[in-house]
Amino acid sequence: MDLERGSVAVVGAAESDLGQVAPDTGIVDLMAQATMRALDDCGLKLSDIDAVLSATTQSRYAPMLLAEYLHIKPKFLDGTFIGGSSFMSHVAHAHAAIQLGICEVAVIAYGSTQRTISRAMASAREYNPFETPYRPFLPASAYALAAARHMHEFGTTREQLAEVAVAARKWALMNPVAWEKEPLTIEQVLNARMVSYPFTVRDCCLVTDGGGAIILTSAVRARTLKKKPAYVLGVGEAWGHTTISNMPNLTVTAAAESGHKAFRMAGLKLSDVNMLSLYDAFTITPILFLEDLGFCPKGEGGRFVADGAIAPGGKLAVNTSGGGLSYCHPGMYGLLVMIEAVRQVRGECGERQVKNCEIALAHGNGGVLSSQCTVLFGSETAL
Amino acid sequence: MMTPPESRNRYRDELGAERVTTVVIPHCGHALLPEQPAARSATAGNQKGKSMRVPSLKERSPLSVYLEHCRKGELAYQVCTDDNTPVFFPRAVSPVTGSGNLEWRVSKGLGTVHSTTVVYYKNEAPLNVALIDLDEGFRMMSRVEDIDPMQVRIGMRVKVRMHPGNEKQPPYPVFIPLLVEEGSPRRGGGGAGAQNHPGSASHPSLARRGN
Repeated sequence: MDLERGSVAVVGAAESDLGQVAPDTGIVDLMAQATMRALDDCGLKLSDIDAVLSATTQSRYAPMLLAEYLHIKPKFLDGTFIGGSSFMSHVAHAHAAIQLGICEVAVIAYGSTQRTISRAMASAREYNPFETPYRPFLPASAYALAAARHMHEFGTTREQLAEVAVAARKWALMNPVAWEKEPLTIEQVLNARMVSYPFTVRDCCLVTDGGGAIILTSAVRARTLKKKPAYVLGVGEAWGHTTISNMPNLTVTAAAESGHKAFRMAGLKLSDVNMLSLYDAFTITPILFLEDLGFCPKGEGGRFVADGAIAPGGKLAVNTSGGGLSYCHPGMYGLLVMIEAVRQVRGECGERQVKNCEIALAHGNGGVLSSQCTVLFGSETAL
Repeated sequence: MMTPPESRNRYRDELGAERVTTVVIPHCGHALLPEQPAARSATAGNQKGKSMRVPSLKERSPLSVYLEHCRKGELAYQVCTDDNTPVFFPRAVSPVTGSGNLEWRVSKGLGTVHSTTVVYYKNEAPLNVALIDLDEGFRMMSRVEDIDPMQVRIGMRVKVRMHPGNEKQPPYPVFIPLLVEEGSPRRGGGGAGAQNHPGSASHPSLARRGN
């Protein structure tokens, strides 16, 4: 049995408070806040929710914490944790559960206070006897090893990496809730504090608090609600490796597989996509995903993003929220990646709205380029 | 040797059916053996009828054996004797075959830098972190010492040196540049033996570019 294209839709989407929250705010406070905002967005009630899906680095019991906090009695719980792409996987799992009739209304929620309590406190590193002694600054050093290899094999330059950060900043300046408020130049990226060569701090995602929630239900019920549904046209999950030492090929991610699955389910081709929301943990990641998803040939990603090609007014709208690099990155950013794609399909993005955006691709990345998950959202006309 | 369907009988025709066995692997691309479990199982031969020897974990762990070697100044790795595949990190059970037939070997300690980064921790000297492809066909994380971390280059030949560690950290292998005069066999080029090594087979860039 396959997931049915468009049989489930995102009907509500909302961020929690972002950036820096008050001291002693809990991750579940943020999840609950975002859940109520997402319910308000679609007009459903708390009592309508019968499925809770969540993952966070700050608790092993994320969905149960939210169910307890809001007194939801879930028919379906999913705490799948595969890093920042967990939430795209949650979409696939919620889609299956709704399609099978196990539940009717699912919330996928996330919250993080990593800026407030520090990244080390929010996300304790697991000891690996074959990596930890060498003290890689994870996850940055793992992505840096991939970037260095990409530069070696394909001639990708630090300037091209910087283009990704500069494009993200230009989009962020059009997003009122983005963390970064000042323009950024390629020179500033290159001359910023070096973190793990070839990455300066401006090649790395932000460290912020934040969270969000999306509400999914059947397409039939979605049409009765307040907002235009963002239908789940396709979804694909894939795994490549877990640790960077075991990545089969440092310049090829499992996004090739997840993207293929999502496009096959959706019956769409690349040229049908109007905007991309790509997990930008580091400047190399959108480059790798543009290649692996098929938007440019392998090795051409650096040249593809050059000259403002993914910035406002460029040839392809990528990360219109400002991305993890300039908008918000609360530890695991995948849910916010999807919220922007949903809003673009609904036409809610104001100054940064992509014209006639009927189909948006949201791509999540977890671990160190490890788990990859792609979701294609479409409007009513894309069905 | 893996070949596409159209040339599958070439070597059998040349060398004779008694010397060449052809195993057809369904849905197998030109791709990489370790990424295609079905392919590796097929090349590992017929496992049916063999009883699986799953090792005990009551007496010693794979990691403890590895660390014993480190204390003796040796970089140890395993080979799955069912299909001659090098295995690293150390395991109780071989990936893909599921076999317990893992034999410990000591690496010659010669390798090539596959990728490199330099970490800038606050108030510390810059620190190299690298991925090293050992000549025996496995990859590991390590660092290259005795050289400015920014001068470590992809493709650079290196040799192992055991770092003594300290009271908290057992000895662990690091690498130093291998002087050109010492010489070493050049890798890459996709020799016949390379097919059995995930280190080279899974890293086509090395095979394509050599060192």
